[in-house]
Amino acid sequence: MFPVKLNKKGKITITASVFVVVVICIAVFGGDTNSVKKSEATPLDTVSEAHENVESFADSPLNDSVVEQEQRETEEADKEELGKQHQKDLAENAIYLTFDDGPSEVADELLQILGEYNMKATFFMLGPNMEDNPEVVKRTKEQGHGLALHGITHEVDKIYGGTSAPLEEMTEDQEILKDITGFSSDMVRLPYGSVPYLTEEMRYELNQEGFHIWDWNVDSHDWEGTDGSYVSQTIQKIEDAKEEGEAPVVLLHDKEETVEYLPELLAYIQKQGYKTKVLDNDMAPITFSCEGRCYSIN
Amino acid sequence: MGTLRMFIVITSVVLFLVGCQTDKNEAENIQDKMNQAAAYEEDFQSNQESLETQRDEEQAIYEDIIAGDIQDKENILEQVDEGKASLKKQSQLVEEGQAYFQQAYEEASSIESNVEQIEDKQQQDQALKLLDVIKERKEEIKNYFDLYQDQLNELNTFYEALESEEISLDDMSQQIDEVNEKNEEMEEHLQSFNKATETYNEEETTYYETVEKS
Repeated sequence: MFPVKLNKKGKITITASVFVVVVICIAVFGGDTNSVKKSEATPLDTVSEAHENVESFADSPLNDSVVEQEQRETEEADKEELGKQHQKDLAENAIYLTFDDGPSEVADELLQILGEYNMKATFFMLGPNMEDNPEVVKRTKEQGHGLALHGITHEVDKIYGGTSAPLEEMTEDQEILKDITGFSSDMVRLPYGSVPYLTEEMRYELNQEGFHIWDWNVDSHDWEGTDGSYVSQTIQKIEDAKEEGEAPVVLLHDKEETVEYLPELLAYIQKQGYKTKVLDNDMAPITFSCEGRCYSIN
Repeated sequence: MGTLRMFIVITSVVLFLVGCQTDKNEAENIQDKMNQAAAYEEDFQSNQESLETQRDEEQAIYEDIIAGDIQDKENILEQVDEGKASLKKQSQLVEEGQAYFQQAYEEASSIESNVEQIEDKQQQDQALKLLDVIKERKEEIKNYFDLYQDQLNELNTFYEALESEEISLDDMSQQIDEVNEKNEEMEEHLQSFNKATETYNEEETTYYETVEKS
């Protein structure tokens, strides 16, 4: 590649040139090797990770106060409406017979007796019982009786087991009744009544979903004995209710012992000239107020 | 042949020195940019502190509100106004925080062009690790800020619900549950961000050490 053979002078020149180039390179490139230093790095700080959760609204006093206020407003509105209803019912000499827990094995007999006296009643029925006796439920509707809901389990630790449990049971019951009859009832009666286990929150949830909570103003105590003594007690309470200016809403049960002595009660009602009416979705319900008595079973 | 050998040796030495010089120049540029990014990030850090203070204030307002009684609606509405004002400030701070971080990120991530020029494989690999963690921090903080804005919107909806005539307790309860769920997610992103920050500091130092040793 380099055919030219250098003489001594040429070699010296080349060597000197190389030396100069190297010196220049070192001077230019190698003179500042420590300009990048780890000590000159600026470390970044971490940031605060704190993001404390806020307190739950559902458990707050404000939430409770809204529930209480809405309950008060609902109760006041119902009370006013109920007053009007009582006036109208008293003018008609109306009475409301209600039967819980059915349809039972004696439901057909019950319907037959009511038919014999040409009387109407409202049935607060349990979902599983309706599923077991769908034909009776259909006949109940066909005969013009009122159809209403009593839940699914009828067990305190289940239907009152959580804030949403009553709503869930009544919604399921409502669907069962609708599947059988095509009728959607908003009327509910809680097992053992709405006091003391139906808390304000449970009432609020039911109200929000459009359910009407029905209690009673005449308790027949028909569940206490088997000798028909409930009849005389019920008659006395019916008269008491009337004296207080209220149309009687009588709590009875769809069970053998009640049905056995029912004709006695119906005979009294007939004799007194009462007109039996059925409850409906548009009526303001008789609901027991909590007034500090309601508590959660949990 | 002696001349040829001499030529090759000289050329190699010169090329080696040029290579060293290129990497050194890139390292200097990288360090300048990283230091500048760190300076920008001080604003971000300070912004995060302001945000935390504002967040604490707003939480105190929220807790006062939910400890109240709906009968005292007038007082609740006054507190709701304060809460909403605090949310607005937080929203502004979140936007500022995003802008500050973006400025720092753009500066730091601009080292990519320098990293591409590094000839020393070991230095380049180390610089690439640094670049990766720069991007990881960006991703974590973006997710964090997105969630933060969502959470502020959720809280604002909650306060607006308190102003309305018809209060849906279920909806409001659900809104607060979602606020808390977002809180947990945000905390997770901040933990990842902080972890990435520590890695960032380590990778940066390791890179400079690699350059110093070369």
